[in-house]
Amino acid sequence: MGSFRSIVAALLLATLSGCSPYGFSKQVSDINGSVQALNDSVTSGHKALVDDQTAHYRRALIANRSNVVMAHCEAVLRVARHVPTDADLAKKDDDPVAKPPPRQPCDVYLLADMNKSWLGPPPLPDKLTLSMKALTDYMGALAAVTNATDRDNYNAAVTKLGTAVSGIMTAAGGPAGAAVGAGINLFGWLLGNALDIQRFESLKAAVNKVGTPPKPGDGRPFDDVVQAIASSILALAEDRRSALTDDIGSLKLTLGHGVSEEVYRARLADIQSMAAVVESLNTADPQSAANALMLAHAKLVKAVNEYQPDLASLITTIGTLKDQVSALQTALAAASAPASSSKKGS
Amino acid sequence: MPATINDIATEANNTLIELDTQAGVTSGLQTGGPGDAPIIAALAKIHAKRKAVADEAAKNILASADLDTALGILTQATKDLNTTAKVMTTVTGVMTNLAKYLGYGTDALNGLKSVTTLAAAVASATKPAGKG
Repeated sequence: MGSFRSIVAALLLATLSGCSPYGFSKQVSDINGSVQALNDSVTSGHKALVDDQTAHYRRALIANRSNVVMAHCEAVLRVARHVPTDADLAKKDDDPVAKPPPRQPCDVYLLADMNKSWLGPPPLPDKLTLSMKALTDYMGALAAVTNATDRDNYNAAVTKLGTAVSGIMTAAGGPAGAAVGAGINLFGWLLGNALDIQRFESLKAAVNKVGTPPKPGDGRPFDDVVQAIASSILALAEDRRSALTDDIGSLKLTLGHGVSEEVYRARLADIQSMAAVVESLNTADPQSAANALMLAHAKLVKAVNEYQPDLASLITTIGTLKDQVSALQTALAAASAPASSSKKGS
Repeated sequence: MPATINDIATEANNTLIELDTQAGVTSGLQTGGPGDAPIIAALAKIHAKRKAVADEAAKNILASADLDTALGILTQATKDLNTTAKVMTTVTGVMTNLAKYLGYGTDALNGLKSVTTLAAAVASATKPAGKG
């Protein structure tokens, strides 16, 4: 009985000392949202880069009034029928799936480009995809361990179990149905607190491990993964900026008295569309978003380790992070050419 | 000693800042009109260098051993967190199912009780008068 009392006392103390993972639920969920947005920036930025290059190719065709050939329109994807086998069923969901090789879409091209299998920017590197997955999975796992809904569901299950046990005891004619029900609720409370503490300790261990350099001189693992993604986004943004600024420069040289007002107007509109994207890329540095994300995680580590965490400071950092990731996402996904731009430059 | 991810990112950033300055100065030389062609060509060269610097840094960071280590730590932490998170949801599931089955048991016992009570009532009603 003495040891039972000491367990209850320890759990009570742990509960009162704030060892609950759910205090960080909102913050973790917000950081998770920003990481998802960062992830989307990479894919939408890559898609926008492909679109930029397509627009760039079209502008060159128009400017040179080039002879073109129709290509890749006969490259049909034919998939053979495959009846699922035991080997297919044994595959895990996270087993890598073979990706089809990149292909140039059906369109008109210069004769010299007709047999090239891929003209645009290469697909995203596997290691980048892997880094993005590792980061989003990690944030998802932090969100899972701090998910307060799990605790609500657990409490509801304990109450249901208490009621059910009490009901069956009464139905069986036992005298102590209500007392047993109360006992179940107490047991449920103790177990719930023990599980909360386990979750909190797991959260603490994970963020500390991921937020601490493995050896002196190394970077923090979280920061290194974020930097890898940020540097790739920066390269993507630089590719877009470079292509767009070059196109603006080339088009700008054609503006003057020698062109009709209509052509001048169309080219100017095209330049302005591209310039707007360049301007947003110039003012939304991926490194700012990466810095804010690294700071938010570092503050999360600090808060988890503190007896009385400074959540206000963490919330402010997360607000900044949200704004920067959102600006980056908008800049990277912005279309550089109006849908009708291919008809404007003639 | 191989460069850390931080070294690669910092060096690339410094080079990009230098190239930005060069591009700014070059762009400022424009006067308007077709005479700007050499300036636009010079700018294109700087852009190409900027692109190469950013691409190279991203490539080197993705290839670095530090990133492999970091990914390993992140993946292990993720597994640990998911395992812990699953404990509570599993316990909740077991309790919910147990409560459900106990509910069936209660219904069965109450049903049995009703049948027993009914049987006793029937037996009492059909007992011949004067024999009890």
